[in-house]
Amino acid sequence: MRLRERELAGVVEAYERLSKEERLAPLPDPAAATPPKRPVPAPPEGGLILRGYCTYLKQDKTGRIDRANQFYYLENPDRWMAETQSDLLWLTKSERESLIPADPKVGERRDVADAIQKRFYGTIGIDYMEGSVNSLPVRESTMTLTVEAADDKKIALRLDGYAALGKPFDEKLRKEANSRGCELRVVGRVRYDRAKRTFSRFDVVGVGRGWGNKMDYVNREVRIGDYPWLYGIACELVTGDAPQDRIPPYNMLHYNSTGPYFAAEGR
Amino acid sequence: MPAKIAIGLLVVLAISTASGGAEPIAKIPDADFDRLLKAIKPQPDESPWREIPWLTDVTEARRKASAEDKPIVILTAADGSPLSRT
Repeated sequence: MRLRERELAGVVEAYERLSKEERLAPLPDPAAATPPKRPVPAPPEGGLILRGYCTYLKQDKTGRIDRANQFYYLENPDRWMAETQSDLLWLTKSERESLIPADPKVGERRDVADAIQKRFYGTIGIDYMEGSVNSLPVRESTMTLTVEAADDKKIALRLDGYAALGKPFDEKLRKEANSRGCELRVVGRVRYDRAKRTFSRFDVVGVGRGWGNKMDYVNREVRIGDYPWLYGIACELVTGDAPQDRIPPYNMLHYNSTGPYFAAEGR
Repeated sequence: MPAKIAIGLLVVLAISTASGGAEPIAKIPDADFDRLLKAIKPQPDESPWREIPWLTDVTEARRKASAEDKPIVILTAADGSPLSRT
């Protein structure tokens, strides 16, 4: 996405040429507006919001993994750099509470609920660099939280996980539509403030390998030489105070092919 | 002989469950955590639009624009929100 500064400058000039009456025309009463057919959902009360990021990665001969720059429509003279994508993950209050050990003991390890694993991996654990891609079904997954430190004030947790999603890898999927698949390994650092009863950190890093094509496309919008290719995901805690932190997760509203966003008992 | 067969089966299983033929994903070394976190998140100056305090409610935006005598820039997208996946 580019901010069109040049075009906007002309609009601002035109706006300034308007009379004050024209600029500040009275607003219609919002209460008289037709309610939306599909109201925008709000984050679950008492839940947790994570902002996810996705980008491409590369690996050098020594095995070091780093960010890779790729282009949309590489053959196009007006191609542009693929930008880091972001999305959100919502957890319900009960899901958030399930992450907090009641009586934490250093070294204690617990599995994260299946519903959280499915939502995390299927929506923000996939390669979503092409933007509008739907969630992928989880074929297998693990996600654990291990207590690394605990006292009266805080609990430090380590998150480890692995998931295989979508179609199993096959070289021939390179030229097949609706054929996306991936696998991903994640590590995270989570901190819980016992006094404030809130999470103060929820950083996760994931390295994945993706293959196949989305929907009816047989050529990816981002042309990558490697097949399968490396991608990375990361996520962080957001407070939900800013309007843009309260945008519903993409797959809650669009193209969610793996079932309802929340499990039936979730909210 | 049975031991050799068992080892052979384990090797085959280990390969097939990982990624069905693609090279398995290696574990992420602890020492790389902070570096990768930084590398995967938006880079400095990559997405200046993220620094704008966008409003997501049109009525609220109109009220604010009117109060501050400013025009409104509306950003929209065919799929999802332009403030998340672009």
